[in-house]
Amino acid sequence: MYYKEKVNIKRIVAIVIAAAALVIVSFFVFQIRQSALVTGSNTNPAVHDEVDANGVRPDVKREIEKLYPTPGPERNAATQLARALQRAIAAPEEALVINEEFEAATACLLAVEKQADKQADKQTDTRHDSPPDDSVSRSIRIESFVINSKERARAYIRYNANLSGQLFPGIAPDQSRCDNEPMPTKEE
Amino acid sequence: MRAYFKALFTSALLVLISLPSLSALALDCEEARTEVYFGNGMFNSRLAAGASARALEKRLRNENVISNDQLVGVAYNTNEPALVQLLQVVSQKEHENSARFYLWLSNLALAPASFRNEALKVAQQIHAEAFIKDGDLKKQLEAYVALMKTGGLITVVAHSQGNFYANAVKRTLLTQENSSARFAIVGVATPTSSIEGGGPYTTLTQDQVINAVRLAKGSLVANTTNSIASGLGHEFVSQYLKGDRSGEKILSDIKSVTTKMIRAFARPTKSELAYQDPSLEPFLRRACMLKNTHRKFTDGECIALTALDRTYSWNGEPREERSIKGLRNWISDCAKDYWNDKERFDFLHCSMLGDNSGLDLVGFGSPLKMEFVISDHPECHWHGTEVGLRTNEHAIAEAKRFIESPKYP
Repeated sequence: MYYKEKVNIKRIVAIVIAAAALVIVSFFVFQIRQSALVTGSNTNPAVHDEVDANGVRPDVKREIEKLYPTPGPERNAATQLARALQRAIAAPEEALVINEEFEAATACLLAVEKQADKQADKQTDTRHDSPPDDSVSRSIRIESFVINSKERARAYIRYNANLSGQLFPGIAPDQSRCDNEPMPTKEE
Repeated sequence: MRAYFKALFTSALLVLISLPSLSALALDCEEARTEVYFGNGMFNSRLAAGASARALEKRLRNENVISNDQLVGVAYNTNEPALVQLLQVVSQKEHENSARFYLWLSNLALAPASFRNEALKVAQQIHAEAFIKDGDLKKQLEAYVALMKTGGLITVVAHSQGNFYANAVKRTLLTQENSSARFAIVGVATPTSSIEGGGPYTTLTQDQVINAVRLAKGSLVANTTNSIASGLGHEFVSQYLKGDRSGEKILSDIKSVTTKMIRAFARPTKSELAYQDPSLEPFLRRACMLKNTHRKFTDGECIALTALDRTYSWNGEPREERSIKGLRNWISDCAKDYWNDKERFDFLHCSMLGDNSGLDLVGFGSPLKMEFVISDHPECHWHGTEVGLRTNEHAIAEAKRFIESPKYP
């Protein structure tokens, strides 16, 4: 009788311990999931879009062609920026590497627009020459062409979050950071 | 043939003569390099933050606050949960909202009222403790400290939630000896109740985002009103930088905090001062400040420094010779900015008071004596048309002020 009781007590203690352990484990799992939900780190929101030989989606290509109707360095630079942005949403966890591409594209865009500006107005005082506001608004429009759905926005938020806390030096116009001529695509 | 050898000999002699001046010691100043960073608000992507930084850079360059080759960097921060929350809410309401999410974030004026209201709610909910990620703050702090260790004087132009990070960095630096004075904040559209270190700030009365945040969090009072405002009156470039009053104020605040830091840190090195006549120190200090402000010398400063050069050039004290060499580089730079080569040559070799004045500064041992000559002869001029035109009363008065009070105004 005594033995049987002793066994029961042991069993009860074991059950209580197991239940407590289960509660504790569940609590931590819940906490981790909640925390992951808040930080968004539980999922990789990367998108896998179909892109052409230049790394740009067809819809983005069309928008860029509308923005820059004439083929040339400006359109190429815009394509380079669009490609960097597309890479950003395809691999948001590689943000620091892709940021290099983004900076190269921006430096190119600034150089090309500066050049275009000089050609348009040779009287411009080059000492005070600086990126025109146009390059600012156009780069933001290119961003909006690429980031145009909830999934893409989610991936882009993640990409930017991976850059948070960094100090980035300013970007100077630099023609040498322009990519080569874009590849001809099927439509061409 | 003979003429050829004569020319060759003369050229060689000229090269030999110019060698010492080419290698002349530059004025040795403590490193005090100004760097400007834009600390973005919560709705900015990296790209949008960079665009704002470039707009600020352009404005600062046009106003000669930064040099032509100086760039404005980005102290980037973002808050993923807040943006995900906004994205979820707006995309539930209308599919199109998520398609234009980033376009509207970059310019809330383009967004429909429902989007703007949601953005306002998110901004209202965010507070410093929730916004700042310790890891991001640590990264930013370490990067700033590395810049300061190499002589950087950092000005962060913090917009909106960028103020949370800038304040947190300054707060940490204030606990560390000697470094906080190298870091200044210029607050813009600040949601915080103070600017750490007492820095200046600009918040528009028309800024609906900060007005809403203030109701919930007690932000600093709005202190500027532009003639025109659009959208929510909150965007950095369109509302603040281009605003008729806010733009001027932000620029003036940046100038003021950078000048204050330069004043504190730009000075001749101890080894440089060891060689100098003590009476030269305030002038050299001013020259170091001018060097670090990255702007062109004014005519008055150029005249004063030239006068200083002349005053001491032939004073005969060997220990002063070194400083004169340093100053001459300066003067040469300043002259190069203002006059073409031929006139620069004239300017640097002519007599202070002109060829036929019969007066010269040769032998003057004190800038005060030079001041006396300028006072008595306001018609002082150098030969050379352009030089003569620039040596007007205004420039001479400015030079006099410089000499009388070399401390930075």
